[in-house]
Amino acid sequence: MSEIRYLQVVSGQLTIEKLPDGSTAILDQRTKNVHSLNASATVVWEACKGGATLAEVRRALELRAGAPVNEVIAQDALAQLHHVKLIEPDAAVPELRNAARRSALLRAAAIAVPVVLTLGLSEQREFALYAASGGGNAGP
Amino acid sequence: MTTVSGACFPTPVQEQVLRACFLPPTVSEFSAGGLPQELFQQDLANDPAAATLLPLLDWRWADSLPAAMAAAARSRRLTLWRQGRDRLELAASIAATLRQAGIDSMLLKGAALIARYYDPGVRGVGDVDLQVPRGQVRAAVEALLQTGWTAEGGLTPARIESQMRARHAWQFYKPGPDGKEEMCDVHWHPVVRCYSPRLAELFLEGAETVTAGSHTVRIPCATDLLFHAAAHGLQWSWTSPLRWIPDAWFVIRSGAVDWQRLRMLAAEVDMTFRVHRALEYLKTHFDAAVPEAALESLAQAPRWEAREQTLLEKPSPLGMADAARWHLYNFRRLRRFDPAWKDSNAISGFVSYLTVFFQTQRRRDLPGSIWRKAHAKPTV
Repeated sequence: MSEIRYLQVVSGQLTIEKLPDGSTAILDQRTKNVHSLNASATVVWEACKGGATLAEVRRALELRAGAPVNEVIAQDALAQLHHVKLIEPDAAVPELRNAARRSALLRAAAIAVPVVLTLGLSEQREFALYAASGGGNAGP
Repeated sequence: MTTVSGACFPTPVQEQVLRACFLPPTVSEFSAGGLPQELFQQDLANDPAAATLLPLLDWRWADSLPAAMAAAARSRRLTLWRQGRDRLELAASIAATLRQAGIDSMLLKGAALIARYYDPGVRGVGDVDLQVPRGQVRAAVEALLQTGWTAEGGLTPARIESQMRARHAWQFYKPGPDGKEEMCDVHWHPVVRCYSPRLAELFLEGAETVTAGSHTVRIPCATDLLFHAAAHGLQWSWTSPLRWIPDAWFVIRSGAVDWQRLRMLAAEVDMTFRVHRALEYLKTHFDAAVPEAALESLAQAPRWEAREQTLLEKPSPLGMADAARWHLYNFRRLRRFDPAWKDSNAISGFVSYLTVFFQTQRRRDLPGSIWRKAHAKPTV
């Protein structure tokens, strides 16, 4: 697994904006989904720009955190990004095992755990703002 | 501290959230232990003001919010980020349509604010507002109608022109890509109840060109946007326009406000009292960087402005008597700029104004129209 390289998906269909808090917002025109990568997930995603192994991703996270980072955290971040098709591995990725231990490690992590939040179209409608300002009809 | 009441100002919980977002850590009572737990017992996600408050919480406290609220706040902000991009795209395409018709337009309100003053996704943009020169309104209306937009009420360009006497803007809509209607307001006066043609000219003269994403758009300068936030935010409204507070706060944060120009704009349209009230509230409640000298320069205002403000801060809906008072004040504001009403008898002029405002053909239909409007429920 450590030799698998993960590569950022490059597509004109992705609209990407890095926010001042270090997180990244991405609109995927292929699926109409929007993704929010928190600052840690952004580190992972940016590490994959030129292709990166699990060990390299882990090092990037450690560099940001200034502390050791468990491999499970890097693995989980890669899995999240792969799941929403923002990175691609260059070989088949073995299935992750021992979910309970992984969850415990993620909860106990000393760093902000990488999180990818994805909203489909129906969720975007739920959170959208459709209120109009009332045009010329502003009055009782 | 200024005491406040009425629909223009937030509820205590909303104000607590806003203070948590805007006060610097050295001043904020929330700095030591994070946000108070009682805040999260409120159902903020279902508060009508959630579109304003949740993205702000994400902007200021993302990593400190409880998990459920963090997800709701980030989801709201992410959606508003996407919507903001779409709205700016729409605004730029409308501006291009108008430009092809020989009309220079300028973005107002939300689209203008996110183009320069807000961090991405922190401010929602429900519709697109554009100002065009008064003499080009008809051409702008025709250009919009020719490109698939429908005027509110199905009005023709000529009827919209007749409405210009008593209103500041007209709304247009067309189906959007997600099945919901897109809205666009064409303004000839930039701000509601500000009928001075000079104010509209000043806004256009002071416009700045900014690049937002892949679009180059014209927006009002910082001072004009602050004036707009205060004048628009502290008016009577069908819904509580809470977002004027962050709008003004972010513009003030830019440090680009010309306080003398602000005073001049307020005096031009008899809104000195209102602007002073807004700035004093922002300074005392949110430590906004409003110079004392600016507040002092706005402190002297005619008494009628204060009386009007008391009315404007009443919650919705207004009763019949207050609705009538609202229109009397509105008529007072626009009469001096209307050649016919300026010289007419005040009573007949007022009745004439009402027939225009309520779009009634006969004067005897007026009472029914007023009654229906005063007891209507907000649709947005």
